[in-house]
Amino acid sequence: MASLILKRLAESFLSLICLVCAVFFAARLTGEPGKLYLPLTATDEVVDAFNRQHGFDQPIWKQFLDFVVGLTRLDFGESLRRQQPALSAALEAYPATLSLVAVTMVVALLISTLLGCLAAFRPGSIFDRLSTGLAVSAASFPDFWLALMGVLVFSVGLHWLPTSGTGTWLHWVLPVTVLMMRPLGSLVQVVRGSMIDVLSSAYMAAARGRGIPVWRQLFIHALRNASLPALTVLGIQAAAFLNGAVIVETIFGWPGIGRLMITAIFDRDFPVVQATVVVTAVSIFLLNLVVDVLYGVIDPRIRL
Amino acid sequence: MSNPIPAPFGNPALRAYLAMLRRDRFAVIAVTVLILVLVTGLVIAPLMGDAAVLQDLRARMRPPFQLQFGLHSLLGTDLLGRSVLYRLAAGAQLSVSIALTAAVAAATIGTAIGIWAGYAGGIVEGVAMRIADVILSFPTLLLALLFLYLLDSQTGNIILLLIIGRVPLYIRVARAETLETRGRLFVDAARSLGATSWTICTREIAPVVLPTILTLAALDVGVLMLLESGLSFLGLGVQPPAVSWGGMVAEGRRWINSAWWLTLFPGLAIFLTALSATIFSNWLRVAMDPAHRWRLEGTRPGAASARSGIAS
Amino acid sequence: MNALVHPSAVSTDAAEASPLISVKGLEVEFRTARGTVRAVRGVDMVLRKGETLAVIGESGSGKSVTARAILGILQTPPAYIAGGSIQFKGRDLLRISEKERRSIQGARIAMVFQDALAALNPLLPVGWQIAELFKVHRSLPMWKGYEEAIELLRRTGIPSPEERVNQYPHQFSGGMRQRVVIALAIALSPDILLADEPTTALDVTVQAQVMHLLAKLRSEAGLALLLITHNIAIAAEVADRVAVMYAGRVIEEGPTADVLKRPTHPYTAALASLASDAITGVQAPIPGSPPDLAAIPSGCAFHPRCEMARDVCRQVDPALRTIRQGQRSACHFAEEVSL
Repeated sequence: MASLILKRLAESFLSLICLVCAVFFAARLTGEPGKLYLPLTATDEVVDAFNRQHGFDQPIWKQFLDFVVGLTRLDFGESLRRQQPALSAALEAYPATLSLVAVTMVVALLISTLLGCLAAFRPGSIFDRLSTGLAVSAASFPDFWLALMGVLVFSVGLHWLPTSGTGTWLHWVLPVTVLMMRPLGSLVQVVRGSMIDVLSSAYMAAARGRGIPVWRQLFIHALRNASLPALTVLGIQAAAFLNGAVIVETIFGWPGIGRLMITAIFDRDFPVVQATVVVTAVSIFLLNLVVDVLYGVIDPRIRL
Repeated sequence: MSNPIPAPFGNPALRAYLAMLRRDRFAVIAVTVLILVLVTGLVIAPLMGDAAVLQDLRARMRPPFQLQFGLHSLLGTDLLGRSVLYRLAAGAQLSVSIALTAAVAAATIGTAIGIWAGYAGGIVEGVAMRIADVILSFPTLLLALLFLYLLDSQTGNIILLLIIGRVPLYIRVARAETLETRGRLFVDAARSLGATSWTICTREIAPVVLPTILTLAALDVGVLMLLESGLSFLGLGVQPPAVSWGGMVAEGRRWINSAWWLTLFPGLAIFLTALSATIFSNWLRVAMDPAHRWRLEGTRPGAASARSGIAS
Repeated sequence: MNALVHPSAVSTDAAEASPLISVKGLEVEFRTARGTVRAVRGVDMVLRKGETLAVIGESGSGKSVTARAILGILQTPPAYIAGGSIQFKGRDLLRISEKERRSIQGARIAMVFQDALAALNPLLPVGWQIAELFKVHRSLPMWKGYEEAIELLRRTGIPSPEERVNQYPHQFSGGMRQRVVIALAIALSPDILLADEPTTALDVTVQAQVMHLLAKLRSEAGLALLLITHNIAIAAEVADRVAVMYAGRVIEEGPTADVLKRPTHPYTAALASLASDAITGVQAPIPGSPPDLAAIPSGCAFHPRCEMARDVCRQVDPALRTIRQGQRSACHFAEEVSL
């Protein structure tokens, strides 16, 4: 398994490098990198002064070198709006996003496993068809709209839940629900599909033939096998979770990386934008790593 | 040079497809919605002139379904008295054209690269897959946000970014199918008859890959629409005064307490369109697959396969 | 390998003993969206204590389905028991409660599967799967179950059982895996062992070892063995009696030597000559192929491929009748077959 992790590490690292380089070059391909940092109304003299001050008038290769050196020192520059290094701003916001995504992933896995198993147990039943319909719909909801509708009904209408911010567990309900909708759709389908496969497999027939009670069959024999494809999908969906986090954080005022990125974009605070991109990429890599390790824990065939 | 061996999916006539469509009630509804949206966006909207931006301060903030005010206020009006209904129609134009253009372009480019990568192998394949992996590993929305910040939010850029974001998917799928097809008999037969690589790719491989790609592209239209509306909602997509559904939701957000219709209807439009695209794509997948087609033909598989000439 | 049967003293006694399990008129159909297929169309079968019955037939003849119906593991849907009864120890297995059935499965009746890799859960250790049986049926704690598992692995000839007991199925070779499956089947000393093509997936040397093991266990424990196979040679070696199935019905059954040396059904005759031809090297396969179970020929299901077919064969489906002592056949012209 060590070799698998190493391979993953190498691939993701390569992706990360490519991404960072792409960001670097894209920033400079507009010709006037200074403009990215300054308000749109800044005069040309201000821009030129800024460029000279930050070394944007130097040859590209030298800029790139400085950039790489800065990277190794984990220096993404200073945030132009806050009085702190860009990286620390990003890292401050990171735990909020991480906790939101982690909780959502766990809840999504639990609900999809439950629904998928129940649907698989009686394929073609009303329940099955309802859950399939729900899954297809869930993937089609615009998440920002769903969030707003949720606010409309549960906050404005019924006053059950707060509109934004963090604090009590109630604050988590809407953000987690909205964030998990899209991935839930595909997860339920995957669990259902793999559960159907498992239930019709030879070893389940063999277990039935040994008189194993139904609940044991389901939870001890079948569930483990059925969860593997779901775990894979969960890993693939890591990127989708972060997509959704941007929207959810913005609407619910959740102090995470996604909201930071949007704020930084509108503040024209480029160092922070850069830093959030890199932190996001790293976290996707970490998430995938966790999924891989989990997979190895469940499936002994991968281990050896 | 004609195909020495017929392509694996025998092409039923258009009428056969229509018959299969009628058997699936949900697919019929989905196709109807899609046609409605298409017609609204590409035909009706351009004919509307500036009905969508016409302000009428006497008509501001009207709730929907008050028929005494006529068609204009059927779905309500906003702060400036503009008609939600007309703006929905206008928004369809941009949303539909962006999603369609991006889908078609991404599908074409991605499939071409994928087939080439799968057929040629070696470095070409390696590089193509690497690039595809890098792009796919990062959330599309964040990528688009980043680059829209760097460039500006013109429609052209939006489309370009959406295309770049989706191309890797087609590359992967097309390459996988090409690899599988490449080893099959009729490709070898064609090669032994002296066909060039180009001919083989276009005449032998492309028809096999096409059904999967079409299904994916249909699904993608929905995905792209959701992406674009997300970008517009966040303020980085379509810029005012151009109308887009995502933008309408963003504008309506301020009034969520009082004018709920300003957020409900545009979002509903996005949802229904994306849902229809998904349902249509599911139907297409079954309709184009000879092994499962019998579900839509209402006959036993023996009869169906006899018709399409495939041994059961 | 010869066509002589291993004379088993048990069989003469068994002939007088009352049946352990008695299948009567079993009918199983598969209902799918594409139509209904009748896989088993009225099967009568009897197995006595300590006896080995070989069920022979081509694929699609319904032999596996019959065995699974006996064990009660047919999946409904799509399989439906359309009729018949299976008498075991005074109860009809088709009409008992789920709870009763589970107490019988694994404990009184057990199955050995063809594909050992598929029949074992890949994510659970082998010893755990055996120990679980003792927990479920005898309420033994798992650690005790593991002790029993080690013993069972030893009995089935697996070396270093103490280590092997914690390993996973993919870590065993084909033959060893089959022994594990056998260990699982005999763990609770069942009365009946259903062996569904236990050696088909194995190569020849391993086949012999596994059959030898089965024979040893059978004589040690006195259990009844229902051996499903399409390999006549193996049937000839170990079986006391033979039942030949075709298109969902038993078309001949009787003592092994009688059925194979003096068959009373054209299909059995063809099979038997195929087997001996394999040795002499002349291949004359039976013309045609097994019928599509969704469209079974009228009259006798074998008539399209039968050399002796006459008009009545196309019209009337022959019933299973006694031709000689202990030997029955479903052919209008059974007496003429061995001429």
